[in-house]
Amino acid sequence: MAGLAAPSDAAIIERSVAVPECFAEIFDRHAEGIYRYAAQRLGQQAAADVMSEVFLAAFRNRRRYDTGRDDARPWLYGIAINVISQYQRAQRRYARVLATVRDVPATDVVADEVLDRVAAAQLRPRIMEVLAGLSDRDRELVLLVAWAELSYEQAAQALGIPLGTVRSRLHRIRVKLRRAAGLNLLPPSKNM
Amino acid sequence: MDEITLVTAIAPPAPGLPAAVRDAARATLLAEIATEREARTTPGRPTVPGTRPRTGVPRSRHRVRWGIVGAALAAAAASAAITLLSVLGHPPSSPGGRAHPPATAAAVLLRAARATAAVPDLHPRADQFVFKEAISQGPYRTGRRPPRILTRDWLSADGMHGGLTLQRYLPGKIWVHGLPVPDCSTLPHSNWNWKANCPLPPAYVTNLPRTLAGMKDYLVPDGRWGGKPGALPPAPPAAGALEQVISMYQFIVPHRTAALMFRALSTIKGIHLAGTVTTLAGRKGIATAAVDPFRGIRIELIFDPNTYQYIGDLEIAMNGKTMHAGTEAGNAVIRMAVVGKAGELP
Repeated sequence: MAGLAAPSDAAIIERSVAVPECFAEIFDRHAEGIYRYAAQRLGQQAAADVMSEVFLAAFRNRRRYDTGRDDARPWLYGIAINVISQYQRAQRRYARVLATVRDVPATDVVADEVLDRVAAAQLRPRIMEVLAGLSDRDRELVLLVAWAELSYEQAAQALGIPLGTVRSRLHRIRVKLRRAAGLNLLPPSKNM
Repeated sequence: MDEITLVTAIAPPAPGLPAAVRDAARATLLAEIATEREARTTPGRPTVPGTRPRTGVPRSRHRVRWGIVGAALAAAAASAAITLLSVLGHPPSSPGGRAHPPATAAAVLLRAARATAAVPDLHPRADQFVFKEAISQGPYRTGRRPPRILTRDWLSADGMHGGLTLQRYLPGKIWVHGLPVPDCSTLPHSNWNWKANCPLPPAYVTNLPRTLAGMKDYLVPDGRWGGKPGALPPAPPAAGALEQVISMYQFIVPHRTAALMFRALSTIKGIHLAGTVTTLAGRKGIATAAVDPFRGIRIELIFDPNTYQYIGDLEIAMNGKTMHAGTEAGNAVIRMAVVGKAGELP
C-alpha cells in the first residue's frame, strides 16, 4: 500500500489559521534553508536573528498566504529579503555612527559582508565587482536564483514581480557577468 | 557553465543550522503561537490591579523607590525586578554563540525576547513565595549620593499568604524589617487589616496583554497625565514604555509575557542603543534607552551582553529638572527564586 503523501506547505499554513500550532511544521521544513541563505548573505551571527524574525513575520502574516501555491519557499524568501534588507540598513547606520565617533571611514568599518567573504576566498573577483555594481533589486534577484536556488517562477513570487520581468532582468545581468568574466556567448541555463 | 552558475560557484559556504540556534528560534515561534492561542481562549480585556489605569485616572509617573524604613507593601510595589530564575549566576546558554554585537536597540530587544522565551517558567504555586534580592538607588536632588540599598523580598505568589521585606544599606550589616504584610488567607474579613489591605496584588501575574498589539498598546502612554497646573507633560512614548516595563517587573510574569514586552518595545520608535553600561550591582550590560526631555532623564533597560537576560535598569539625570544632574537611580537584580516560606533563602 502506498504511503500517504505529506501535506503541502499550503495545506499546513491554511490549517494553521485555525490551529496555530501547525505552523511549527513550516519552521521545521524550511528553517535550515532560510538560515543558510541568511548566513551566506550576512554571516552566521546575524543569520540566527534573521531566521527567527522571518518565521515570526511569516506566522503573523500567514492568513494572507496564497494557498494556491503549494511550496512556501518563495513566500519565506520574500520575507527573508525584507528582513535582510532591514538588517543591512541598520548596519550601515551603525557604521556611519561608529565612523563619526571613531573617525574611521564607514567603508572600512562595514563593507558588504557578502563581498568581503567571497573576495577573501579569491573567487572570481570580477564577478564580485559586477555583483557590487548591480542595483539592490537586481542583486537580490540573482542571489535568490544562484544561492537560494529558486526557480525563475519562485523568484518572481518571492519578489512580487512578473515572471517576464525576472527573465529580462536576469538577461541583462547575464550580459554584465559575461563581459566581466570575459566569456563567449554561453548557452542559457535550464531555468530560462 | 553559464553566468548564473558562475555566481553560484562563488557563493560563500552555507553552514548548517546549529541545534542551539534552531531550538531557540523554534522556542520563540512557539511562544508567539502560544500567545495567539491564549488570546483566543481568554475572554475580556486583561487588567492588573495597581498598574496602568484605563478609566481616565492617570497612572503615577513616579516609581516609588525603596526606603530603608518603607512599608513592605510600598517596597513590593516599588521593586523593579525580573521574572527569570536564570537572571544572575545561572544564565542559559547563549544560542549560536553570538559574538557579533547587535547594531540596534530593536535587535537587542528581540534577542532578549528570544532568550526570555527560552527559559522555563517559574510557575509558583499559590501558597509559595517569589524571593527577589536586588540593589536599588533612589533619586536625589543634592550632590551627595545616599547609600545604595540591598533588599530581599518574599512576595506571595497569589497575594494571599503574607510576605516579608528586609533591607540594609550598602555597605552595612543591620537588616531592617519592612512593615508586616498581612496573611490574607487567615485574617477574618471583619479584621481592620483585611479591610485595609486584602487582597494584596498577586506577585505572579498571568493576565497581562497576550498579543503584540495589545502589549504595545499597554506600554505606550495614552498621552493623558496629571492635568494639574505645573505638572509635567506626559512622557514620550518610548520613555513611557520603558518605564511601564520596569514598573511591570514589580510583579512576576510568565516568560512569554516578558518576551512579548521586549518584542513590543522593539517596535516602538525612540528607543536607542546606549552601549555598555554598569548596573548598580557592578555588572556590565547592554543598555537600550529612551529620553524623557520633560523630566530631564534617560531611562535605560539593561541586558546581559551574553545571555540577553534583563539584569536591571537605570535613570540618568541629564539636567537638574528632577534629580541632581549626572546622578543615577535604578535597580539591579541579584537573584530570584521560588521558595516555600517567607524568610527562606534559596
